[in-house]
Amino acid sequence: MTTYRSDEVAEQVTTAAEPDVAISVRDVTKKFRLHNDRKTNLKELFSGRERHPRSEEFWALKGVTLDIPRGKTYGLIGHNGSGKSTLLKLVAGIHRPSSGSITANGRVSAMLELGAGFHPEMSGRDNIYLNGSILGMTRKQIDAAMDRIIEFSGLEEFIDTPVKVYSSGMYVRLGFAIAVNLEPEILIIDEVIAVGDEAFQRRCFDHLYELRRKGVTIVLVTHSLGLVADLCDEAAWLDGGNLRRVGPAREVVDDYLAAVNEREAAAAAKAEAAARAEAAATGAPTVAEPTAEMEGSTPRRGSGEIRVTGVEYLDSEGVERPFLSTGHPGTVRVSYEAAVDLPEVTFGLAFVHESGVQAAGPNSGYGPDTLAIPAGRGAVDFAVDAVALQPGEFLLSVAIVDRGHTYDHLDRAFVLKVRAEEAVTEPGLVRMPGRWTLNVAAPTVEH
Amino acid sequence: MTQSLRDVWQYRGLIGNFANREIKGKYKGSLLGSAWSLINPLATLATYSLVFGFILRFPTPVAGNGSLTNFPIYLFTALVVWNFFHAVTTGGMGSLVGAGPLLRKIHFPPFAPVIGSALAVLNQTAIEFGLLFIVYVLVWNIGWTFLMVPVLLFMLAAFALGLGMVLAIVNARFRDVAYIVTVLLGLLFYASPIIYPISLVTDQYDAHPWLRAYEYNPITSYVEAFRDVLWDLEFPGWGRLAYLAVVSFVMLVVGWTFFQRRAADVSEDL
Repeated sequence: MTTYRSDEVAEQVTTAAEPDVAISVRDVTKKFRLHNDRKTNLKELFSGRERHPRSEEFWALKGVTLDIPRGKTYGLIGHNGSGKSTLLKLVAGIHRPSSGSITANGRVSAMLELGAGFHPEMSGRDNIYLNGSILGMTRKQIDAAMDRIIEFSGLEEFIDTPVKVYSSGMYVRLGFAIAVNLEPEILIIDEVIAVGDEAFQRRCFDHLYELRRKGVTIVLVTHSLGLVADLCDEAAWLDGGNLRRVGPAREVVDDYLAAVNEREAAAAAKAEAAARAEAAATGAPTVAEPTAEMEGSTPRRGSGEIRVTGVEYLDSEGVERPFLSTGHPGTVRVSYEAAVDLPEVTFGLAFVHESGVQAAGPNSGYGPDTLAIPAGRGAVDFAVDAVALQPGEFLLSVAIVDRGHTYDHLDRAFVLKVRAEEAVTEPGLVRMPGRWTLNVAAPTVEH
Repeated sequence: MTQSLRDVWQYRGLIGNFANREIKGKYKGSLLGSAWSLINPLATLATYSLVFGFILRFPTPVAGNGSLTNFPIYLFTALVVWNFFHAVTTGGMGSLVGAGPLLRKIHFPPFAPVIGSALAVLNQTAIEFGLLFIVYVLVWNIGWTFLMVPVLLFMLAAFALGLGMVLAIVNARFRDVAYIVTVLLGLLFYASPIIYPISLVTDQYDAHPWLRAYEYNPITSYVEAFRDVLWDLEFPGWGRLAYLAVVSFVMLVVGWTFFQRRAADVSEDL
């Protein structure tokens, strides 16, 4: 049992070693000195005694108590700077808590950076010895695991060349191959699995699932909420150094997402209010005018009899929102201004994912379905019962056409943010609705 | 005490790997590679032979074999000792700072890179002593006192490591230490009878009695002890050995204790 305590003199640990708790964190705080103007100079040490202390304190953790159960996969989530990485480092023994105690029942192996400590001039094989021993393996263990490590990394031809000639992918692969052979009792991972190509990532996940099946306690920090919801049994949500919530991973993730969405909506509303106030102060009209700033990725095209004046996203109650939510009702409202009566008009939208792939391209229909637009202002709504787009950022193109003739075309001119209200567990750009049924084949009759 | 030894023993593999990393990384990328660890001392020996053999001529005591009075060899004997002390003392600072990125990612005892770098120095020292022995064989100045060399080296290593550990941990916090140490070691170099015979100082004891403090400098004492066994082929004397043993042991214990006390938080300073 390893206990990291704040005090120099280790007191008798009073907590009984509960067999079902792998890591117990008791009222842990961590204070960092902010090094923005750090006293690295002896001169300042001697002369700065009277002055105001320059180093400010920053409390990364403000009293966190939690138990990580044995054999479970545990996720730590939170914003950047919420203290989750600090907590991870304390559990890994890299830093010492300022107060409180952390008790680990089992050998802790940390994977906070793959290939940390590789010496660029040394060969892959020598680096396996070096890195392995840094991670706590004995030479015997490394010798025994050597072939497996080389095989797992897939670097057989390069293992005796200096690692400085490795690509970053090869570097990470070798680092991971060493780390997975540690046979840890408690494994601590910080986002490192988000590297490498698709095939390598899959191998990493396979390995994590296998460790989980073997009963290894895994503590994971990641920003991929889908991964937390999927892989983790339990999760803790840290916010500004405090523990916001602990519980089953999926519930914690859902709560966290709800809070993030709320916060973002509030920020958007605030920004809008500020913009409105400014507009009111300058006497400018609040309704967006068709201006030159409404430019897409390519120049605006079209004859201009009717022009798009703006795009809004509405929720099911018809309230304007800064984003749409996957799986929930939503409406894209396209405002227009027509100079003349137009009897046969078709509106078209294109949803282009930030990766450049067009995910969907609905239009209002041709022939009998065309819209007759009178001169003047108005809006066309495109409503869906459930937004099929998966969370992410999409660019929206809007076109107003009459068969072959283009009145107005704005190529990827608007940003559409799609948010998740629940944990995302499906990959892909769109969520494909469908029904799953099981059809068991009738047993074949033996003759 | 036993706990400390057990800790070091437990991490011997890691210490060895840090030493290995230092040795292998040292001359990588150079054309001649590890040949440099032989060329360097040879070049030094040649330079000193030139300077002190022809230009600056210090009075050289006669060596143990009764005929040798070659000043460059006399100088080189002390220089090898100094090089070892210097490398072990300063190596800890660089290796601890160099291990900083690692210590911020992985939990391992910070003494491992420091002791590892000290071990790595032995590689160079072995080459230099080997060279020195060859020279002594060539001029036929050998004796049983050579057997004292490993003992003295072990004691000097303890002294230098203890000092190096203090410097390494302070330097992690205040990087000025490395520069100050450069200056102070430069001073210490001339405050020890390395490039001059100790008689230059002892001869002035009558005029300046305070100069006797000079002999309490452990490096002076070490250099003299090494010259006793290598040059004069004499036993250094129990008094000197006891003094060095006590000083070195105290230095090592102080250095180790200080280091371990501060080591738990060193990852935040690196």
